[in-house]
Order: sequence, then C-alpha cells, then structure tokens
Amino acid sequence: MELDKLVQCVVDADMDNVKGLVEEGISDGVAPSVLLKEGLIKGLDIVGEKFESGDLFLPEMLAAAMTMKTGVEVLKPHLTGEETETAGTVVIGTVQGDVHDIGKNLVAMMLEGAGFEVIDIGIDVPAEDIVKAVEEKKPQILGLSALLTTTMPALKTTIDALKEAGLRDKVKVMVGGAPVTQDYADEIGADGYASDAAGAVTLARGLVQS
Amino acid sequence: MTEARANPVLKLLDDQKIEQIHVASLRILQELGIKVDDADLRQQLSDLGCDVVGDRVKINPDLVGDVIANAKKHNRFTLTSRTGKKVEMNLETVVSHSSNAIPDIIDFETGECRRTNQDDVIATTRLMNQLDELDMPCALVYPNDLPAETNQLKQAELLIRYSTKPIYATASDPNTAKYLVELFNLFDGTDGRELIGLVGISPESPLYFPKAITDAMKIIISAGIPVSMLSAPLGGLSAPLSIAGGLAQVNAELLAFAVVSYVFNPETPLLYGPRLFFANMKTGCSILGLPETGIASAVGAQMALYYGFVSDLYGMCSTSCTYDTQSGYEKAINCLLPFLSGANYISGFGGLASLMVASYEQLVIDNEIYANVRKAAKGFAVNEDAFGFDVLASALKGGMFLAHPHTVKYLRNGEVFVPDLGFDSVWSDWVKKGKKDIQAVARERVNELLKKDEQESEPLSSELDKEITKIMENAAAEMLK
Repeated sequence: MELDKLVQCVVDADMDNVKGLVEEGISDGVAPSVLLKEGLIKGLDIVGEKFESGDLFLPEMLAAAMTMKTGVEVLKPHLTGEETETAGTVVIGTVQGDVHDIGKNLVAMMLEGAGFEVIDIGIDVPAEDIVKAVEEKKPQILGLSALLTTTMPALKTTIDALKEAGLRDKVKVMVGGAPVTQDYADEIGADGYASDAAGAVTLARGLVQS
Repeated sequence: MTEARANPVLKLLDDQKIEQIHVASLRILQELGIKVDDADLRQQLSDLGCDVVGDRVKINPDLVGDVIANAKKHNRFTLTSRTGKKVEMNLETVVSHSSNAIPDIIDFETGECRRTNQDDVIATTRLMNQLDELDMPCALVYPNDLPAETNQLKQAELLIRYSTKPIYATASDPNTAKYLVELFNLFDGTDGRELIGLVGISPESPLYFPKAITDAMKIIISAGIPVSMLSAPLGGLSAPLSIAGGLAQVNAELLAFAVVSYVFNPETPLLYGPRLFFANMKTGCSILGLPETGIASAVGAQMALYYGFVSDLYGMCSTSCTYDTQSGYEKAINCLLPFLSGANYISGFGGLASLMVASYEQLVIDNEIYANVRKAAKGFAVNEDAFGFDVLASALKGGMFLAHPHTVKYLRNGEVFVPDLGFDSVWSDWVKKGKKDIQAVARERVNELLKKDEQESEPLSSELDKEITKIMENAAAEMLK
C-alpha cells in the first residue's frame, strides 16, 4: 500500500475512498500508527498549510478534516491508547435564547480536525445545563457561542453560573459569535475570544497548554 | 416625504428566470416543507391542505397561489409618525430605513469603537430625524446597558419617544410582540387607523419557524400591524452557496411566512424582505459588502414585483470598518443595484463592518450616498422641452445657455445633482477649505444636525408619556421576573 495515496486522499477530501485505503493499509500490514501519522495526519497537515496560505477555502479544509476523521474511525480499533490521545476535550454550545448553530458547528468541526474531542451540547442551552455538562464531562475548554445582540448577555450569565458552581477555575472558557469582541470577552471574564473558526483552533491549543 | 419609485430599469434576470426561481421555491415548499415547532399551527396549516409530516409542514402550490393573490390586495398602506409625518408604502414608492440593533459604535468624541447604550439609541434617532433622505428609523444600535429580555421593546419605546418619523420595530418573542402592539395602539386613531410603524420578524434559515417566532408573528399579524417578512440565510452556510439556490430558498421561506401570516390574519400587509448574503469563505465570517449582497437584493426586488409584494431590501451594506473608499463603493453598489431594479424599501443607513459597528458620521455620509443613488435611479425627462432646441438656437445666435430661463427651470427642478455633503468644487478650493475629507465634513454636520434637532424637538405630551411609561412598567414586571 502506498502511503502517498492515503495522503492524497485526505488532500483531495476523497471521502469515497478513504475507508478502503485505510483497510487496505491494515490488511497489507502497515502499522496503524504509520497510517495515522504518515498518511492521514500528513494529508491534513498539507491541507492546513494550504488553508493558512489562503490557497484553500474553508469548505475544502472542512471536507479534508471530515475525510481524515472517517479514516481515523476505521483505524481507531487498531490504535493503542496512547496513539488515540486527543489534543484536549472541548464542550461546546450556543447559549440560551440563541438557536444559531453555524458558527458553533464550524468551530466544532475545525477543533475535531485539529484532534480535539468535541462534545457538542447543542443550541439554546440554559446556563445550568452548561454547568452540568462541565461538571460531568470535565473538559479542558468550554466553547460558548452567541450570534445575536439579544443573546450575547447569556455568555456572561453562563460564566457567572460557572463561578457560582465553583467550576470557573476548572475550565477555560472561550467565546465567539458575530457581535462578540475581545473587549467583551475580557469584560465578562472569558479566557479567550476568536473571530473565526481557524482562530478558535489556535486559541484552543494555547488554552490547553496554558 | 415619500418618493415615487422610478420604473425599474435593471433586470438582472429575465422574466423566465424569475419564473424558474418561483417554481424552484414551490418545489422546496412542497417536497421539503418548513419546520414548525407549534403543533397548533401545524394543525391549522393542515386544515388549509398542507401535508404535515412530524414537525415539517409541506405546503402545496395552490395554497401559495391563493396567499399571493390575497397579499396583493393588502400591499398599500400609510404610516404616520407621532408628529404627523406620513410615509406611503406601496409598489409605486421607494422609502428608506436605517440598520438595526448594531452592538458597537465609533464613539463620536474619541473615535474609538465601544459598546452601544441607550444614549446612543436616543442620539442616533435624533440625528436621523434631521436626515432628509431617511424616511424611517430603526433603533440603529443595541442598548447594551438595558436588559436583554425587554431590549427590543425598549428600542421601540425610545424610537416612539424621540423619532419624528414613523418607526421600524422588531420582535422575536411573544412578550415583546404583545407590548409592542400596546405601544402601537396608543396611536390608533378613532376615525380611521393610524399606524406609527411596522415590525420586522425573522424566522430561521433553512426553513425553520421556531415557536417564539410564530407566537410573535401571531400577535403582531393578528393586530393588523404591517410586517416585514425577513429571511436572511448565509450562502454556503445556511443556504446553498449558488446565488440561484440561495434565492430559491429565501423565496420559499418568504412565501412560507406569507402562508403562516394568512392563517393569523389575511388582511395584514406584508413586506417581502429577502436578505441573502455571503461569508468570507476562507474564514467563515459573514460579511455584507460583497457585490452579491446587491445582486441578491436586485433579484429580490424583481421577485417582489413579480408577486406584487412591497420589497424590503439590504441597501448600503459594507464590510469596511472605516470611512474609506471601500465603504463608499460597497455601499453605492449594494444600494444602486436594488434601487435600479424597482426596490420599495431600502436599508443600510449608519452601519459599517457588516452591520457590527455603527457611526454617527456614517449616518450622515449614507444620507449623501442614498441621495446620489436616488438621483441616479430617478431618470430624466425626454420630450420636446427637454431637448431644448430653442436654447441651442438662441445660443448659436449669440445668446447664453447659462442665463437662459430653460437652464434655470431645469436646474431648479433638480436636473443636475447638487451634493449636500460631498465635495463639488476644485482642488484649490479643497485646499482653501482645509483639505477636509468626507468624515471631517460629516463630523461637523452631525454637530449641526443634533443642535438643530434639539431646537426642533417636540416633547411627548404628559398624557402620552404616562401611557407609554405604564406599558413599559407592566412589560418590565412581566418580562423581568
């Protein structure tokens, strides 16, 4: 099995063939860690570089990330615990009163593509439910989204609820959404803000390391 | 003042393609349907012949046809401000309004971007009183210092208190809708209805009518208050990226809105508000200054005319974050395209940064951009008098063009645009006047207009003040529990 084929498969976001190629690699005796690192991850790294340099659009980046994810699913049973370690766990949701999920979904997909385990708790989530999710899932990061000016105050309500529950120092909170700004994030006591999905990935990596 | 709309001179799509979009929308409604949360409403739609499958309502083309035919009978109405200013809304007029609920503003004193508050709502509303090209204000900015629950209602209250023009309010929940109706009813005269404004309501894309929205619709529409149906999907994110696909979805969402409105009150006037826009597809951030905003609005104007709806469209939209060439060309293009296509109601006054940042100076600059666009779309007379044969003949015999009565007559009738804000002289004159750019001139004008409005302000009668206060107190007691 030629690893280049698997790399190219991710670069081309060839969802139809990724499963078959990974299975072919396994049956040919290629080490699963090699298929992961020198096949799937290498492919996504190339896509990531092209995305960073502006040669690829966001939908192409996402399609490649989803292709890689499909390949990883096939590979997972063959990987050791160490090899399946994620970049971190993120609980993500849209705050109460807001049913918009495009931004949240974009960030979730990009984070997954970057190796995070993402637990999506949905839209219009009351602060108490978000607190509960943080309590149960114990993520390193909580991502909160609000698209509307009318729902933006719920970001603060949620952060305040985390404080009241004694969980604020257990999780890093990143916020986003069209009307949200860095100043607002600072004002409400969030740990970080990103203006777009790619920025959210960089931010999440930084927050996990901090 | 309500401007008569010039005949549309631009058709980005021919009649056959407009018909194709209509057919594509009917297919969406019939095969995919809309998601309706409210079970009672689903039943009412079922009673009208819709096919209900789970929470989706599939709407048949015959019902859509009946609803469109009915809506045409109610597309003419007059709005009257609390000070008596009237705005005529129908297919033959073109009316302007501002952007709405922008969360940040460029501070007039410091030039820094900051969160907006209710003082900004008041000041921008007063400034809009003095803009001669602006017919109706929305609350330009979002008062961040007020509670979220009553925020839309407070915006309407402040508009009523401070605007001398009819108002454009918004409602996205039933409580806001209920108290909005009470506020609007304060102006409901006994001898014939007086409407102080209209209400914009926006369901979710794609094809989703949440219960809070349909409850708000029910209250406003049952009260007979004109409603602007707003559908604002983001191409490639909540609608197909292809412009035709986005337009077909928007059209389906607006026709579905009209069908739901028909259930509540078939006599309520409806405006057709297609607000398709696109994102920066390298970041996913929604931006409004792309030419596709204007293209979609232009076809939206065509679709509205095709059905006989009054259109309510994006206008002076820009992605630029400052008073630069980019904001000028984006706003001009995105306003001119729908204007030339027969738009009736155009938005965009006062916004920058894809409607995330407002500006006092920009309101004044947009007044000038709109005046330019309106002039460009107005057309001109072509007849014997306008050909001016006698003027030419007289000049050839030693007479003057300049002092001829024909010249004066046409000049006085507005044949040639006279900028109110924009520079209209020569370089040396510009240097002599201090090399001011449009922002500097706009800044001076903002100060002048705010002073003028203070002098001209007409305070509320104490009786009206008390009634408004009482409604707002009741609203706060119920909504801020």
